Amino acid sequence: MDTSRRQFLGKAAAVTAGAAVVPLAEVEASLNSQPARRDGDGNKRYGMAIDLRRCIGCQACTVSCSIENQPPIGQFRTVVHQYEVKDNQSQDTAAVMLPRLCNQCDNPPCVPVCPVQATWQRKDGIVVVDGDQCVGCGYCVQACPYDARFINHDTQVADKCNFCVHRLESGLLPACVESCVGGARIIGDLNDPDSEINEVLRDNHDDIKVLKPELGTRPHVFYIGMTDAFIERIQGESGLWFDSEHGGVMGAMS
Amino acid sequence: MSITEVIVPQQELAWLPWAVQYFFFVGLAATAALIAVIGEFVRGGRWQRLQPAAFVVAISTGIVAPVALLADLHQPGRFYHFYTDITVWSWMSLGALILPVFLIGLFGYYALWQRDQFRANGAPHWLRLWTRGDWSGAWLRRGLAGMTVIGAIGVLVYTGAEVMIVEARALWHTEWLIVNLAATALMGTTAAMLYAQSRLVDGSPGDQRLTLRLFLAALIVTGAGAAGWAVSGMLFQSVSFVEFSRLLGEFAYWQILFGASVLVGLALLVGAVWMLRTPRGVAHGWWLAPFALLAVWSFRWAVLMDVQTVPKYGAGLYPYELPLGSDGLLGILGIFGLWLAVMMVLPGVIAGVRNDTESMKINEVAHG
Repeated sequence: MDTSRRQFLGKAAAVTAGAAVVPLAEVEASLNSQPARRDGDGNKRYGMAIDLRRCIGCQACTVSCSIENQPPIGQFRTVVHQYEVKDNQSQDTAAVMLPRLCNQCDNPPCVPVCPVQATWQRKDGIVVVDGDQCVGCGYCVQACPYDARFINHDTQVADKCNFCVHRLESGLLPACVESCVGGARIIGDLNDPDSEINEVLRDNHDDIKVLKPELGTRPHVFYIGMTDAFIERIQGESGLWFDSEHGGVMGAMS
Repeated sequence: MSITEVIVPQQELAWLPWAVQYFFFVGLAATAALIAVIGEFVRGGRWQRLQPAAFVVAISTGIVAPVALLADLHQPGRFYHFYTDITVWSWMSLGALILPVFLIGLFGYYALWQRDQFRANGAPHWLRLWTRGDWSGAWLRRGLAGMTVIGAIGVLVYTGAEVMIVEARALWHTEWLIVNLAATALMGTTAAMLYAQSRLVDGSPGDQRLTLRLFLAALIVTGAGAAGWAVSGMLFQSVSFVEFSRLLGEFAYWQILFGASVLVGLALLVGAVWMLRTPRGVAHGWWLAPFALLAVWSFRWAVLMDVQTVPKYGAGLYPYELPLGSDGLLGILGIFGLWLAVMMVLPGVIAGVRNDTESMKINEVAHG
């Protein structure tokens, strides 16, 4: 490689690296604004696509996540919500499955509220919690519009899905993705144009939705095949709930 | 299309009744401190005569509030993380800085005010140490009074703002929340002062009348704040008002809550106006105290606890059953018990105390 070319590449890399750093450096620490991202690979941006047409509601993801991450009985980092949807004219009914997890938002409202910097967004977009730093004030649980966070009964600190970041860093898939029997969950690097997730999102670009987009959180869990009725708060009949202290967080409506 | 939830998890309440206790007591402490400080800067007698009652409320609630705050953390032993990792972009972190400023100002100001009272009127034997030294401490007292004002306003702003900025809970997401939390806190403080003036420290009928007027003013401001929230909400379709209208339309519980709030507010208003008409009424103004304090506490319960039972995504309302242990009833009773204990000790210290049966009899006669 000749000198000029090496210099050019060096400068190009510096410019690119600068471009990645600039938006972060611009983040000002004014009240309730996003702090700078830290840790993780800034060249990546993880996201998940969930193809609802492929989800059968088997809860294999729920179970494998619980085994992998060991939340207490009755508390979940991911769970498949199940709904009965009836067409009022034809009276036809159908089951709708909606896997729910942390949306790893680009503008996560849970992060700036944390009073002790125990939760932050990594440069690869994953929002993580340091359980040793968390004081368990529950502020982030309130701030999350997706109910993705909870106070773990065992550790008494905030807990949430982190895309199984420990597995991703070892080159493994998150437990929920690994165990999904229908292949409904696809995780990948959105910055890599050749990644499977980008391929899936491109193939279904007319049918991609996120939850509560009007809040400006910019979720990075993308649903494919979701009816508009599920974008916002469910307008319908509520289920029955049981006390999660006794392991019965799931309810059924007869 | 109709949707029925078949399997959905219930979201637990992340903020426990401890939060209600903290917001209740810290609001009382901040507003009572502001009333106490008026006497430092506005001379002329009547504000000075309100100081003992204001201090009884401010000091007692100022002791209780941080205990409740600490207990609301699921990891109370890690509270020092607030100070080892100061987080300038978080309202709650800002609050962790404001609260000590307020408390140091308040307790410091009270200590020097009390010293002046003891030096002027004589201290009980066991508190003689308080009056030691020849320095007047006036400049320090003024400085601490100023610190109290900044801290108290800071507390009133940050407690409202840290809740208000949570966009995920539409009902909270209104600036009026700051106004209404502060106005109801003033209502609670003046109500507690009415009780203190009648039952705990010396309060002349004139002082009680002033406190009752302040109570009435706080009630009117609270009403105006509620009306302001509703009218501006209607005009600008604020998310908070729209959400409240939805809840009112869908759930009997919220209809009862709304109806009860309006009725209690009106009843307190009529009661205060009625009692202000005659000296005998003023002397019985303290009857309003328990009802007003309960109303102020209930407002915080509705704002902090009931709102958490509104699902962010799901349909219906989450059921909430008050646990009997420290996460629930025991915690609530424990904090009220602590307040009661402090209130039993404090009037024995605070100047202007009515601790002998002779003066009690005289006051009973005066109050009719």
